[in-house]
Order: sequence, then C-alpha cells, then structure tokens
Amino acid sequence: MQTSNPSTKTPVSERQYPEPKHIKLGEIEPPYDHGSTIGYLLFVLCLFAVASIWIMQNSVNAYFLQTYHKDSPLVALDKYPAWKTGGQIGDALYRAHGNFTDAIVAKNTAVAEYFNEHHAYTPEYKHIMAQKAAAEAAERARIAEESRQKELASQYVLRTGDEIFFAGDSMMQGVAPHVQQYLQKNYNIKSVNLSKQSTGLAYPSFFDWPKTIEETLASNPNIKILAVFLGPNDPWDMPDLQTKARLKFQTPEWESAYRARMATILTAAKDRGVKVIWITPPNMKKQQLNEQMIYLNRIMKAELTAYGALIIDSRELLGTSNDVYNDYLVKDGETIKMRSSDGIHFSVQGQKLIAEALQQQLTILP
Amino acid sequence: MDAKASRNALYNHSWLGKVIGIFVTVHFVVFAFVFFRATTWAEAMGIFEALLYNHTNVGWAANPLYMLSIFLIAWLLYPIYTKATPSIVKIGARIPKIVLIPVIFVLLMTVIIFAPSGIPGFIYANF
Repeated sequence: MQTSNPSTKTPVSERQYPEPKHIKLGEIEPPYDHGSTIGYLLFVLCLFAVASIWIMQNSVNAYFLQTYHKDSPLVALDKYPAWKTGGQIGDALYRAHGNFTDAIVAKNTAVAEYFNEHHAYTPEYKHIMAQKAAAEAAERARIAEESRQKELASQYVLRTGDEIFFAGDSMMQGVAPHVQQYLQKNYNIKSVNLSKQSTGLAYPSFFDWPKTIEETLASNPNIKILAVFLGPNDPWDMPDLQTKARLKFQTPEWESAYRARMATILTAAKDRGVKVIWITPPNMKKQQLNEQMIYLNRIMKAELTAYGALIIDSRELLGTSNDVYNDYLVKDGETIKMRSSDGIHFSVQGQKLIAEALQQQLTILP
Repeated sequence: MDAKASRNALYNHSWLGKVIGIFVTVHFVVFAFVFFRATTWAEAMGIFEALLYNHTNVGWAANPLYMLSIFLIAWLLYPIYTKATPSIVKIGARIPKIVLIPVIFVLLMTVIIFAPSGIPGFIYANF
C-alpha cells in the first residue's frame, strides 16, 4: 500500500535547525548533587544554631548557671560588643513578648469582669451573693472585735500597791465585796468600794457619781482600775445639768445627756490612766424595767465602745442573752438560782458569778 | 460497595450527611476527651454535671472566648492550609535562599519566644 503523496522529507530527528539567535534559554538547573545539598543543610542548621545562641545568650547563661553552678562558657564572649548586641536583641524580644501577653491577659480579665458584672448572675443570685459577702464581712468584724476585746482585757493589770475602785448601786454593793475579798486574800491588793444603793447617773443632786469618781481618782493615785455597775435607778426623766429642763426618758436628748455623764467618768479615768471595766445591767423581772434596761444597755455600749472601755454584759453571764428574764441559770446540767426574789438583785451565787467574771478580766502581777 | 466507600457513605451522601458526620465525630471526640482528661470516674461525672447544669450564675474566672476564638480561627484556617501546602512549598522553592533563610529564622525565633517556659506537659504523657 502506498500513499498518493510519498514524503520526500527526512525524519524529524535527523533534521538540523539553526540555533535561534533572538531567544535566550534560561540556565539549565544543574543535576541533583547529594553532597552539596547535605552541606547546604548543615550550613543552614549551624547558622541557625549560632544565631539562636547569639540572641538567646542570656537565657543560655542563666540556664547554665542554674544547672552547673558556674558561669557559662559564653560569658567569655561578653567583652565583644557585637556579641552583647545579640543579648540585647533577645531581651528586647522577651520584653515585647511580655508586654504583648500582659495586654492579652488584661483584655481577657476585662472581658471576664464585664461578663461577671452584667451577664453572669441573675439579680436574685447577685442579691444572695451580696448578702453572703455582707455576712462574711460582719463575721470578720466580729472576730476583729473579739480579738480587740481580748487585747483590751489583757491590759487590766494590777500590781502590788495598786488599787481597784468600785462604783455603782446596790447591784455593785452585792458584787464588789466578793472581788475585794478575793484580791485582798490572794494578792493583798486593796480596793475602794463606794457603791451606794439607789444611786445612778440620773440624779446628781442626790448622788453625783461623775464628781465622786473624779475626786476619788484625784485623791488616790494608787487606783488603776475603775469598775462600774449601775443602771436600774436611772430609767426616769431627769433634769438637764445646765438648763434644769426636764429630759424625757428614751428621747435623743435624754440619751445624749446620759452619755455625756458617762463620758465625764470615762474621761476622768482616761486622763489619769485608769482603766474602766463597766458591767451593764441585767434583765429584770418587771417587764417595763426590763425593757428600760435593754435600752440602757444599748446606749451604755455605744458610749463605752467609743471610749474603748471593757464591757461585761451581765445578761450574757446570767444566760439571758435573749433579753428574757430568768431567775435561774442552767450551767453544766445544774440549775442555779441567780436572782433574789425582787427580780432586780442577785442571789449570792449570782453575785459570785459576776464577781468571777470581773476577776477573770484582771491580771495580777507582782 | 467496598469497605472504604461504605465508611464514607454518610459523608459522600450529601452536604447534610457531611455536616452530620463532622458533628458526630467532633462530639464523640469531645465526649471521649472528658474521660481521657479526668483522673477518676467521679471527676468525669462532675464535668458532665457541670456541662449540663452550670448555665446560670457561673462567673468567669478567665475569658473563655479568647481560646475559643483562637480554636475557631485555627479550625477555619486548617483546610485552607492543607489545600495550599503544595503551593506554599512551590513559593518557598522560588524565593531566593538569601531571603528564605532569614524569614525561616524569624519564624523560628517567634516560636522560641512564644514557647511556654519549661517542658510542656505532653498530652500522651498521661498514659
């Protein structure tokens, strides 16, 4: 079989073309050479290692010192400024990193705070949390107050030759002798007992406690502690000291006048470096008198706290912290009668109980 | 239908199948990770309980959106990166070595600077 037009051309492979002068072919890639590739890789790795150590030199030095407890060999290069430059670059990078991460942390904290403030809690839950926080704060304050009271208590010191001064009404007349006897018998410490029935702070024209106390403290410099126990004779309208106007009991005017009289006593004691232990009145059998004593307790405490005087609450001692009068105290399974039948004064056991509480507050030093 | 085709049957079925497949896979891994990470059964149950019930009145100690957004970016970039890997290699081959080496060095320094100090606890070290 023959084609109609048999080719006269020679086969393609055998043809010769002239090199085109106007086209420049790119350099032909040299063939893959294993040795030079390995060499190149090694060079780059070494370069990276040296450059890394140059920049991280401070970290390397710190690590070396920490691990081997001697200077790293790199320290020898410190004399070349060019070498130190790398360390400065590294420090700058770490500083920049620190600032960057600090900014992120600050931003994240702000986001979390915003969420907690606006979206995390329902109003009811927020209320509960606030109450909890307030209760915790109150508990902390209570503990602080307790330790403060303890510290105050430790400061009620009597040394040989010191005296203690008892002021008050018939309640004190019952309590003071027990303490006096205890101090005299055990420590040979003398005391002054001016307690007088039917007295208080309401009627200075009948008996002026602030004046008496001031005079006694002035005349007897051995007195280091003043113990006061009064109140049941005071819940009445009383005359103002200057104007003689009638101040109605349980009015703000009455309260400020009463507190001023207490302040006179407390200031007189403070001025002479005399510590004050003030026993606040107990609950009373008669309902009206009981309520009056609860009121008096409150204003006494306010004034005494302001002066940093030691408060002994006789209600707590007698087990009537709930402000309900009780003739008896149940202690260690025993029922002890604390009060006399008038519902105001104490049985001998009651007197002793309060006397012991007072004694516990005293530190006797030779 | 051979084994490989049946394994990918849901994924190849439709876009919805694809979504369901990814969803189920991711959630299974996440579910299993709770047991992987917790040291006791009670701890794992505690995590599930928190996941189910701690949706109100829980304050943030830190900002969880930060890591979540980084994960999200990584999640979105990952398929792009896998697809683009050959082209990145090609570009790298074309850049002159005198430029490429400093660029790689800067990347290395960045990794070193950002690396947490000390030896990071490797996840499988828990086994």
